[in-house]
Amino acid sequence: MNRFQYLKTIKDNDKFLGMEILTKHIEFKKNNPTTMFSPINDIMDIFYLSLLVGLKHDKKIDINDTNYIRGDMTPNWTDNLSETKDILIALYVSHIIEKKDKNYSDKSEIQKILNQKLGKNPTRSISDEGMIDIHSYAFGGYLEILKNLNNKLPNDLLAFFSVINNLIKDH
Amino acid sequence: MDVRIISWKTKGLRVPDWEINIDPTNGKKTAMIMMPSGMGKTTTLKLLRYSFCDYSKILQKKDILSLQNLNTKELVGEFTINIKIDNQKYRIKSIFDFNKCTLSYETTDPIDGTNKGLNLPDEINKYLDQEYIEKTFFDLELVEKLFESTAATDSINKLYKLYYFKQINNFLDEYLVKKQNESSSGKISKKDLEELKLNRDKLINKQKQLVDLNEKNVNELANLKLEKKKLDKIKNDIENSKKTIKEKIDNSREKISFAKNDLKEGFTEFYSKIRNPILINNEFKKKLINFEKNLNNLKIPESVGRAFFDDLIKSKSCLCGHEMSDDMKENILKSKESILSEDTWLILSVLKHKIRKEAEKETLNLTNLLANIAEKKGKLSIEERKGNEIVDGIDDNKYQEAVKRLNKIDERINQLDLFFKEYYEAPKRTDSPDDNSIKKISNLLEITINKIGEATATENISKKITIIKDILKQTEKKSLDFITNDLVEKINKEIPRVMPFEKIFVKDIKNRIVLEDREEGSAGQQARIGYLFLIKLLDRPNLNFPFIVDSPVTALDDISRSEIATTIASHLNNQYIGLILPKEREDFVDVLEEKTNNKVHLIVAFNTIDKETKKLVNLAKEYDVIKDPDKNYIISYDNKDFFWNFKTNIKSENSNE
Repeated sequence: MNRFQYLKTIKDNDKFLGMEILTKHIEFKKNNPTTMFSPINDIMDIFYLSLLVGLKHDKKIDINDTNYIRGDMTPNWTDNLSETKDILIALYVSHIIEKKDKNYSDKSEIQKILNQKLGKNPTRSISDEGMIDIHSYAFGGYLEILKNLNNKLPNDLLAFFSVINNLIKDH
Repeated sequence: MDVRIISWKTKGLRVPDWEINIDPTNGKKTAMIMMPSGMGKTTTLKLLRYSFCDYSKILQKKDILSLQNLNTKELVGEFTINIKIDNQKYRIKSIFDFNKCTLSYETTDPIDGTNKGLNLPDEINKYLDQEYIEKTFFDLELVEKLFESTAATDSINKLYKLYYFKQINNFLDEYLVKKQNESSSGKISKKDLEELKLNRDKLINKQKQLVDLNEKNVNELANLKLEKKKLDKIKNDIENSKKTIKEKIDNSREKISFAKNDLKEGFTEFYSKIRNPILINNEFKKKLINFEKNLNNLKIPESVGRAFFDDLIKSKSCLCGHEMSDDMKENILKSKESILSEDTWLILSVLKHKIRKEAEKETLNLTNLLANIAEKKGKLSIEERKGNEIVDGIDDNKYQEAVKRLNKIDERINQLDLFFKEYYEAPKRTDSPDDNSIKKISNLLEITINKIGEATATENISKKITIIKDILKQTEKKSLDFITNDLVEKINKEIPRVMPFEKIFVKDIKNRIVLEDREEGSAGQQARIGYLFLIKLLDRPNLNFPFIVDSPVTALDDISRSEIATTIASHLNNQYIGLILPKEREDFVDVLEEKTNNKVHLIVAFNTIDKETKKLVNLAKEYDVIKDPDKNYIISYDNKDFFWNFKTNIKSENSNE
């Protein structure tokens, strides 16, 4: 995977709201009375929130399924997420390890997972296999967000962030 | 070549059936034609434009019908203009058939007499196209537009015919398509090739549609911005005139501004917190601490390098001295997988350090932050409602209409902003022909044309065309740069003269006129620079053509007016005709008279059909301008007293106002 990707659409689902559409709806726009307050500047922000939700709820999809149409984004983490990426990656690998070995009992297996999921590229810090994984979780999380938005664009920012908060907060 | 307008005559049109004489042969190359508002200044400007360039195929039905006299409803209207070209008399008659909605011409010249059509000498025709005419016969709005939108560069492109480069590009594209359609090398199936061609045609159409829509939207945005500026001024003027209300509005705006900042900060804070997953959820925190702790317990990462295993595989014998077999190598490779690589080791060290650092902080309650945002949002709504109540309470129709229109303009500008954002989006691998980005569509088109090129063995033609297009692109850019720099230099040379007290220089012309050291000038400063731009842009060494301006100095301050008058009087060799409103006289016409030794035609013209014009007729009588009973208009020539005392807001004697 040369670039991060977003979930553009789903085959034969005209009503599907892709990540791009949601981003355009809530991203910062200087003259718009609602989005002039938005801290969202890039589609990667939506990707990030979706990944959090995906990891929290362990929701993932098979991104190689040809029904999911993807679009290209940035090759690296955006500036907005540069401070976040290490903790995010740590959260992702810990999630994967716990799914396989909750008590961290098999050192060599854990080292093997770490080798597979963490990457050579220090700016991205994640391997190709890891990239595919986090996309699976991000897209899974995005579908969960849409479900909680009743598959409709949110009325305003507060409504959107309330949905996100409900999905990621402690229960 | 010297072109001068002598007179014009109208019949059956939305201006009175009159004749206006402005013969410049007596040394009066400047004419000020004053008409009350709504008496046909703009219509006259249009009719003059239509006389010099064949508009018969340009005008739409509605344009023609808008010229018909609604009182007499005559089916044919005529506009006849007498001109001199190098002292030779010519007459051009524009004939408007309101039944068929057509425009036709008749030209009388000194050699061939009267003939059908618009037959001006070829030497003039090569200069006179729609663009040139619409820039030389203009209104002040054009000058304002030069500082917004792309009007300045558009004018250069059109007047210097740089659009020819684009036309050549289109011819080249068409040629390539033709060649591709003619050839077929059989490299792919006929069906696949047809599909590619279909895609290509679809993309070409889409590209054209997008370019047209963009041009339309750029224009619309420029017009909306100008309208917004004017409405804002009206709104502010009304607010300022109502002192108590102004204080209330200022106070309310300040509160709204604070509330908006507060809300923005709320969202920014919320999002900055949410970007730290370890602090927003205890489950995440626990998981991460657990991860770090367990890796420590397992002594991960260890400083054992995988390079050791790589060296071992390469060696001929094992550490124990046995020769290295394939089975042994495979086992070593398997073991290597479970040893951390140097890269993983490095990344893991960073991750563990970050977790240790962040885990010390307290987990945040995002729900509380959201409640706080909701409260701020509520406060903003209250302040906005209060502000709206103040505005709604202003008992002024003009104000309310301005506010209403401004809201609509803002809404539309938002929509247009979205369009432009999408229009310039960069191509991605997954673009589709339905995208609305010109870059994406052009990229898809290039890919498709290349594929067809390969399939039809026309790559060579394609490559040659690409080279020619590159050369054309460079030439176009260099030409535009050269013309622009030359214009900037010429304008700046004149600045100390036209702006003696506040020298504002032009920095560049990039789409619009860009000023040195400031975002924008005042209306007066912009108008003076705009005039200079047009004068320099339209300056043709072999053509001296009239300048006609509708409302030349409306809304300008006294200094701007007098400096523009000085420019016209002292630095414009062309004939100058100003269609002015009474309020434009002061500091403009007097300066023109002074600087030209009174060589200015001072004309007042108005119709006498409307009831309201009775007062104007009486006023004229006071200055010995007597109405001909057979005519439904009054035209006064060079009656200075009447010209300077003419006013339209005459109070009647019995008026209680």
